[in-house]
Amino acid sequence: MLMDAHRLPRAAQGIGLKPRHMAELIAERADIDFLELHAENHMSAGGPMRDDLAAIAARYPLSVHGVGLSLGSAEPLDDQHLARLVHLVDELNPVRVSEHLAWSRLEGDFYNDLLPLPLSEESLEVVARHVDTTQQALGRQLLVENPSLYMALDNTLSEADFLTELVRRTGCGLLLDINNAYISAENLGRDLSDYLSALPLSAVGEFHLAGHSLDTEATPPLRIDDHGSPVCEAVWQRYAQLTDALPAVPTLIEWDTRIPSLPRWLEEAALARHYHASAARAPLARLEPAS
Amino acid sequence: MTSLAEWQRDFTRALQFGEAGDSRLGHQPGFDVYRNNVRHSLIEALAQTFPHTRTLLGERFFRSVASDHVRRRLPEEPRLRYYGQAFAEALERLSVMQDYRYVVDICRLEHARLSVSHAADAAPLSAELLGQAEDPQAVCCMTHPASRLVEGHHDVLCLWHALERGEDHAPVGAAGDWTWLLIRQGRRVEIHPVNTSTRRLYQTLTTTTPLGEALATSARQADQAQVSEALGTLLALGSLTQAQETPA
Repeated sequence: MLMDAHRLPRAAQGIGLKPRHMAELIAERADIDFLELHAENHMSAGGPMRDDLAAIAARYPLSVHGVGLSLGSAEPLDDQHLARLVHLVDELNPVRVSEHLAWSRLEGDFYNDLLPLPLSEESLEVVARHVDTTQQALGRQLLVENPSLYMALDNTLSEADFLTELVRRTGCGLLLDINNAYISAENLGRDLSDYLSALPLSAVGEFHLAGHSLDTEATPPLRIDDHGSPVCEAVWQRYAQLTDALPAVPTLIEWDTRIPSLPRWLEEAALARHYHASAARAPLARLEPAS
Repeated sequence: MTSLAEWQRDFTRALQFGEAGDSRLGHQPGFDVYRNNVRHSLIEALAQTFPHTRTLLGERFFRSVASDHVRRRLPEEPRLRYYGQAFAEALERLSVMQDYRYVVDICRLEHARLSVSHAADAAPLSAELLGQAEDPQAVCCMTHPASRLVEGHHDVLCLWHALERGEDHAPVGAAGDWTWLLIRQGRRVEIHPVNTSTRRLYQTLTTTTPLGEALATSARQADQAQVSEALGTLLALGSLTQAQETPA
């Protein structure tokens, strides 16, 4: 039987679901509020991994995080892929369904990355249309995640204005990836406080936190969103500020490369609880830069 | 002003052709991160799909072949487990592989195993169930969705089992035409060598067919005893299932 998935405790903490941890998570209920899976890894017709996922779904609330729908492609959505997503969501009844403000598909080829989207009225119309189609197909709200960026594009809309208008037009929610926001601010030299203050924070339905690396061989050095290390201190500080403003929003700790043991990952989630609690003890008036 | 579609076309051209492609986009600071992410993640996807092929070729040669493959062919969809479909053919076309065709056989087996692992569930058709049918010849059957036929050039099963045990070498069996049937049993995928009659009957049943008709087709190329034996093999392996619908 599936969990009553739309309910999560206040300030819930989650971690990603990886094949290497599935047996452990099934054998013993881990101290975690929810698990998040990458949709494309679980679009199987049958077999043992699907059986394991059903066992996981019976024990934990799940969040479905898509990485391949390509909301920003200047062509119609891939109907077959959308149908597979709908099927997975119908089966799992997850607490959240999310995708990215990015694109990865063009003219029959799939580029396995979250490619950057120039932000303009035209791209806003494209993404709004695709979000609308997806929400109608799913019969529920989609959260759209802010990107981590490595190059400046010729935008005619700011990212915060774009996301604000997307929320207004489609009724979608936001998945605020604080690590992504930090990386983009550092790489593009934008003011993180201004960016966060301009977002429609009331639409945030989930936080993402992750580690990143620094490529010092690039000129200038670039922060790379590799999800392969613990969350950095500057991101934790922003998280504490944001949870002060949004105390009930669930948080997911991502880790996709150099994946740690399950206990180590759970420690990182425990650390998120600590920062969340410390924010509650010492509320901040506004989103000040982390010192 | 460039439309979004044109801009995305330029971007993908720069991703694929590097500096020879669009110069403005491809030379911007930070663009290399996207190019490297696409290339590296697809090479990694192939490495995950073909661990035994990787062991046999060695890390450096495998990555070089995988990198060439990524340059020539991108995935058609986001489920990367299906990306390796044409990798064995790409490997086979390399002149350097002509003396190592058994590696191509291992590569084909790896891809088939992955497909079988994620294929749909279905109840296998057993000899007992078939025997209970009013008219067994009229039963519409088809191959089990979690089964695949793989054809190869060497007897590589000993090598395969050695690789599965984590050993990196084992004698390669005799050259010749070999056919293996992969079938999922519980959490495992088993590999069974099958003879020509069994291969032909399995191939006949890849589309829904009344059993009597499939047996008659196979009997044109083999004697009755061989066809009966082939049916017995397919039923014993659980590689057939009863189709719900009758063929058009």
